Amino acid sequence: MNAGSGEPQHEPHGWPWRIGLLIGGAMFAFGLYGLLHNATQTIPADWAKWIAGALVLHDALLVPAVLLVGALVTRLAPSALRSGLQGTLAVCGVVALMSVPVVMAAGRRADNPSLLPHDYGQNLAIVLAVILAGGTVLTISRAARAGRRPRAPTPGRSNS
Amino acid sequence: MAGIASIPLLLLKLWTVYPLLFTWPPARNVTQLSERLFVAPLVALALFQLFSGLANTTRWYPWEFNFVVSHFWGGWMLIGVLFIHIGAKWQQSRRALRTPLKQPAVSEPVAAAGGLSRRGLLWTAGAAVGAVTLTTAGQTFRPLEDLASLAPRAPDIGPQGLPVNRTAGGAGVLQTARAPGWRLQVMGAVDRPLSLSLEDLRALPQHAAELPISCVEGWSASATWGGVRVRDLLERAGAAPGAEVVVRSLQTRGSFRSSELNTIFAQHDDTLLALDINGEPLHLDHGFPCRLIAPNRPGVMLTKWVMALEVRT
Repeated sequence: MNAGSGEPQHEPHGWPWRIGLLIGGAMFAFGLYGLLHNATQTIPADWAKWIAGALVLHDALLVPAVLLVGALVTRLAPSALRSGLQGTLAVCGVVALMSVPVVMAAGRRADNPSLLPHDYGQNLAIVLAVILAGGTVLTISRAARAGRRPRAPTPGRSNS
Repeated sequence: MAGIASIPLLLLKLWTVYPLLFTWPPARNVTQLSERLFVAPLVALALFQLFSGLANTTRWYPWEFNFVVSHFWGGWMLIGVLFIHIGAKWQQSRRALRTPLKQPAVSEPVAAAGGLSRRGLLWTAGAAVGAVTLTTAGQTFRPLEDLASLAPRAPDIGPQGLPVNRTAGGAGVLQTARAPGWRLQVMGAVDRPLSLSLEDLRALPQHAAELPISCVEGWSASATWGGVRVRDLLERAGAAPGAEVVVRSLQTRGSFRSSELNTIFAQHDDTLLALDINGEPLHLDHGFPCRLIAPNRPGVMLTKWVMALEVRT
């Protein structure tokens, strides 16, 4: 990310690029061949739709939404609480996002009580509450510590 | 479990490189253009392999294609583009790792002003991985069982205290598995083909084995199984010592309606045709009248509702 001034721009080249292209290209081609060869099971048109959908959903919806929330926190929250709040919200977001399949429980079957046996909506609420509580404690204690510390050049940290 | 833990890491990684998506001009030469073109399948495949794997753990299949087959071939494609990406970034990463940092990676004043610092971001990722792991790992790691409130399975919930993946109803064997005329056939490359009723099997020497069902979907649970050693059946039928066995289920469809035992599995002390689980006859959903149980095999290869052992040499 740090493209330092005056340095030549980073570009792929040399033997790692060629070897990666050779080995990786072969594996990719093998996978693609397998996918197309088993078309009755893999239904490539449907599969490709889901693959492209994942990319679009992530790049055009999920990340912009996360950036928006992050920007709102940066604008609205007091600076001492900002990073703690962002971290707490990020963890909550990831847990909630990953719980969508269990909360929806679309795979539940009447004859298999061992699959998805819990009340996941309630459990998710509890887990999120615990994360929020923990995040709040951490955020406030950090802010309190920072507040006690002298503002200007932090002593004892600059040189060692 | 590793799959679940890697989802927050993938999201973090993609979030940090997202601004690069809008680099202008998109590429300065052909090499860079080709490298960037491989990023789209890399990101798309990584996202979808992880999402579909997560959905699979809850047996949620909102698509038309076969999950197992597509996930397998998609995996090859993903590893391929990952290799290409690593090759493309190899020299850049080496250079970056060799260069000493000009300033400490963490500077709290910056963090306080602009939000999460780099260290804060790593802590957040660690916390997210910890949270999703703690709330799911208990479905296979007993000490965390009580915390596994978001896991799709509990290791002790199910008929006879053991989870079930495919039920007898789902497998379409409700009638055939309970048919009074059920017999186990030991056939193929044998001197004396056998046809054994459940009573015949119970009359043979019984052995016990403490073995887990370890599902590829991430849960596992142990039980004490009782039944007949596959090795004893092969011997009784006069199969060659190096014989391999195909275990066939009553299931009439599905890609896991049979499984193969190589010589090592076939001859192992703990490879049983189980009739009992923790001292009780198998529940219909656990494979009544008898199921294969063996060490070191994924659950889908522990064939249930067995009707035949087909011997090959």
